[in-house]
Amino acid sequence: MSKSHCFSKLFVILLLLIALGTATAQEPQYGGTLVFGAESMGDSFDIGFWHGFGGVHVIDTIGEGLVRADFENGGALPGLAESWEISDDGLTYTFHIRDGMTFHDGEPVTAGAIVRSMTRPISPDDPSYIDGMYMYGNQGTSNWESIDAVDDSTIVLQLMQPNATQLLVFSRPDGAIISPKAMDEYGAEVGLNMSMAGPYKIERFVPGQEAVLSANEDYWAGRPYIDQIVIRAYPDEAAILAALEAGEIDMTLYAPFTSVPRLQDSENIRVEVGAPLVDLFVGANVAKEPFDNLLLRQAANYALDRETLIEAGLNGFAEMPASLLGPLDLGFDEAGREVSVYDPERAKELLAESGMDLPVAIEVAYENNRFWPQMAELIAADLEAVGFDVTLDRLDAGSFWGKVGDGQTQLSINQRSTFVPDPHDKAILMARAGAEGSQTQHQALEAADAIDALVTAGVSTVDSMEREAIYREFQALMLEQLPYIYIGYLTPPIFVSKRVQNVETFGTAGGRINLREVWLSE
Amino acid sequence: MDCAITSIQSCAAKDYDGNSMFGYLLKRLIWLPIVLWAVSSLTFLALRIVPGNPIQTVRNQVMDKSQLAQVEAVWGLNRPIAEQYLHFLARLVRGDLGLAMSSGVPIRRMIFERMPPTIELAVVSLFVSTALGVLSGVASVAIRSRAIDYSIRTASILGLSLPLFWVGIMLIILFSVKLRWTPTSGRIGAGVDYEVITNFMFYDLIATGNWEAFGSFLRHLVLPGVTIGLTSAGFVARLTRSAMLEVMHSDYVRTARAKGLYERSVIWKHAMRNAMLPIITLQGLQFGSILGGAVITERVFSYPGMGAWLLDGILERDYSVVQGGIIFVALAYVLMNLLVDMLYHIIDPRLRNAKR
Amino acid sequence: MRARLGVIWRRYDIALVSSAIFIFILLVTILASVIAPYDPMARNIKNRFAPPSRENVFGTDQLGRDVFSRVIHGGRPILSASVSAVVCALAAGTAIGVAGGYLGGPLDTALMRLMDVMLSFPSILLAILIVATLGVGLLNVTVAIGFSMAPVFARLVRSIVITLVHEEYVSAARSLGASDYHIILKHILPNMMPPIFVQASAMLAVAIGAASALNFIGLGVEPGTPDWGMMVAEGQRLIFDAAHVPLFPGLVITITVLSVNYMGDGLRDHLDPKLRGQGL
Repeated sequence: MSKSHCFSKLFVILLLLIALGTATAQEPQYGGTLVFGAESMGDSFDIGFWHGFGGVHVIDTIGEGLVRADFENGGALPGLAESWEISDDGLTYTFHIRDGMTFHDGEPVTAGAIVRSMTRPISPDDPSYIDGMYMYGNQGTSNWESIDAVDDSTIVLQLMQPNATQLLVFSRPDGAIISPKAMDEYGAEVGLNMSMAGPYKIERFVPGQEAVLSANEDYWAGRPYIDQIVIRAYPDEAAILAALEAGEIDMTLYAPFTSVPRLQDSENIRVEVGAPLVDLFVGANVAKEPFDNLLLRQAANYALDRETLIEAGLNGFAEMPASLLGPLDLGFDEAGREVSVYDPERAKELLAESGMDLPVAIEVAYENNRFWPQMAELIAADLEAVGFDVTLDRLDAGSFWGKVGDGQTQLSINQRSTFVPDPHDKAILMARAGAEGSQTQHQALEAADAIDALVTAGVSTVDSMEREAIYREFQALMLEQLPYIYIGYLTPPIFVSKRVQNVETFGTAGGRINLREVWLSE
Repeated sequence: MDCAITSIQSCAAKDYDGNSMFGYLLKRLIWLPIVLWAVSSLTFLALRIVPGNPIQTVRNQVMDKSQLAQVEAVWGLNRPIAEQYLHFLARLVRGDLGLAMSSGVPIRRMIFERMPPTIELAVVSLFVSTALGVLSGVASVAIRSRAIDYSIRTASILGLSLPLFWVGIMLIILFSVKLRWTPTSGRIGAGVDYEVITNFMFYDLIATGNWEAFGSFLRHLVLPGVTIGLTSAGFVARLTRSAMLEVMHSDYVRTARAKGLYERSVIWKHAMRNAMLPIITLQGLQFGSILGGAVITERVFSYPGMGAWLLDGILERDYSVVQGGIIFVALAYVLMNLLVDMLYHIIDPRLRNAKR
Repeated sequence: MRARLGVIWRRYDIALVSSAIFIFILLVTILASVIAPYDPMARNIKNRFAPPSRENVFGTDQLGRDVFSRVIHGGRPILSASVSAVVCALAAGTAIGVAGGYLGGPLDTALMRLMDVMLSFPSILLAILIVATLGVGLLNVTVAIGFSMAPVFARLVRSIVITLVHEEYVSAARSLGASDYHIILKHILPNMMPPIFVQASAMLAVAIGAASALNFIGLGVEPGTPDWGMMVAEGQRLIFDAAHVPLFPGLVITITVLSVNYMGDGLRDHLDPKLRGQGL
């Protein structure tokens, strides 16, 4: 027997073993309780309001909209609608609703019930109506010409303008459908008694503390694996770590990154890495001195040593940046990798070229939680190394958004996550048409109109090839004008106990956890 | 600083006006609405001065900007501040606290959710500090050891000054992570089933005979209760101690001793009555301040009480939450103050007869 | 003479040791830049979270800075903020308390209800609002803490003044035609000093704790500044992974607070021998 033959035989055996191993590992089991540690738990789950990420996690676990988002490949997956057609002009959407579904309270899911839930924000006579349900604004309601339940299983939505993201926004938390019975019964307090049609239903809700969810036996895609999911708030980072160590929680996104090396080696905990869906960036206020000067924005851009920032500020949990859109986005442009680079010499030259007296005094604003303080100190050091004189402006969340909104900041560090897998999601929030609320006040740029036109074109164009071209142009323009300076794409660690299997790492990375396929071994 | 422990020494030397109790209480009650008006106006003003508003904090979650303008109009944030203030006062007079701007939930509902947990926490922490403080105070006099004296002083200073987030996390590491005796945080175990009636778990769980949940509930109260309790235990000990020393050097105890009364009964009867006044004052005010001020303890222990709620409200700039919450906290504080004064008069016969 | 020193030592041993420790801490704080082995701001990213060693006696922090040097430099901000907060609160509180207690009447009632308003507003929330409005920085921390402490002093001072006003020597002075100004300056102020000193030293401890707490909520001194409170607050999340980062500054805070308080007790004993040995 030749040596190589022996090896190949071993190889085959090894392969078989691996196959066997994965086969046993992939046999999902039913049952068990999973405790998810959230950073917060709101006071209600009314989808018309923002209740922090704790609220988003609960709604994503109990709710279901017409469609679901595919964060891995982009695009929409069937939800309450098993299929749909969109007219060629992009104005008429016809949804075919699955038969035989029920809400958690037993009410049948009909086209009529869905339309009632979707039109809640524009039905002041509905008992569940509350003035000022701002989150519904994300559903694109103001662009709806009409929405009708043609029969029990068909919905026709007529738009005024084409909207390339219309389908996907139905997968947002604010697109989840509420049972009409709950809307009648609880009226304006429906948020405290949510009944939806998702894979889990609410057993009990303790505002500010936890939501106890149980498997929905009648879920259309089949009962989920886990019996009970508890989503519980741990606002303090050390406390969430303690709960993880004590075995009280099975899964979280909110433990400090610095603990990863130790936890990775621990007996009961595993760390998975999320997909690069979240942008980290420095926003420069282009309406205010000194960053109204492009040369200074460029200098700041080249001053940032991203590798060190990612290593020391984020414990390595980020990918190197390119542009405003991420590698998973439609129309992502690799060319940005040439611009978002560390080149301190070039930064110094640009500063010299600007003719300003050195060092240039600037303020850098950031939120006073999570990894931001550490990042801010590193960014300040980089900027000071090339000729800026940095004052750090540490702000609570309210002050941060207040100052940013009022255009009082110079540089501000922040992130943007993806709620739906579509480039428009980032584009509109970071370079908002009309711009009043954009972090960079980019309406002050000469190119502002061009940027706004591209954002608008991106969303009102239906053809995806054309959209791709538009977003490439958009990214190029943003890189040329540099209202944003990119730090990286966050690939957040997902902390799970070892018995948690089949963790979804795409939506989860952007804060939209998906527990419907997760199961527990043992 | 978590609880307004800062007020302790001033209350140990409680001011007394020398009026009759009834007249005094009446005077205080007349002032109550004025104090509440001042507190709520101060809150209103502070929230308008501080940078950021409820719209700006959610702006990045909303794509359709026209929605936000609409919301601004709904809450009246686009009107002049004076008009907003009058509107706010008018609603306050009617007892209408409105809806939370960030969540759309009625404030009264939130008070129902958040007030009982905090009251329970306050009761437990007072129990802890009183028991611990009185015992060690008595011990220090009875044993008369300099070492014990100084350990109590040291403990009281540390209890006062060590940051609560630090004490809290240390207790969690020791008792929850290493020893696994207590849960790390929360009000009750994750997923434990129970029925809510009054939202005072102490009552609800006993009334429904849910002993399993009751056990979990008590275990969850231990660490946060001890964390807050430690801040005033040292003070209670010092008050007890000095009251006892004073009594033991007083004439009537010497007389009692001369008559041959058993020493322990002397200490208890006279000294405890003497010590009770400052302790009640101290603990009463402490109770009042925990109701709104256990911000850090509630945060570290993920405890769903008033303090954590108000902190979130401030960070989100939820005007109606902060305005509504602070009024309740102030009301609780002032009422507690009144109650303490009443007890004072009832317990101390000297004060009761002062006017005659 | 020798015997007399012995008596003093026996009476004030702990107070004297505490004073020595506190003076030592003050000296180190003042001479920080001479004593510290490294620049407290110097980062060394490659040497993050190094455990205590010969080079870095207290180890290094999340940005590779020397914790020992930061502890040496870190006393100045927190101590100056706390001390000035207490001094300001004491001054304001004394003014209000004396005015109310001595003059009495409607002014007194109004002042005390105003103090009620301030006290019934949860102090930490008040501090958050103040710092959020004024921004982070040492001065604003001072203002926030001082503001929340002033009513405490005011009430204490008032209650003392009320008892003093009825003392025989004050009545005597008054019947002899002494002016209010004279009575307050010569009879009231000196006699309230002992309890006020004890209160002030206890409040200094509270102020130091409060300054750390503000940092924990994310409002405090400017980021990066070496400051004990900031180091403890920022290090709290590292307690499982690099305990030396928060532990050493925490220890120093503890020692400082204790020594200040025992010093205050000793001083009180010295000023008011009546109370000696009675604890509070």
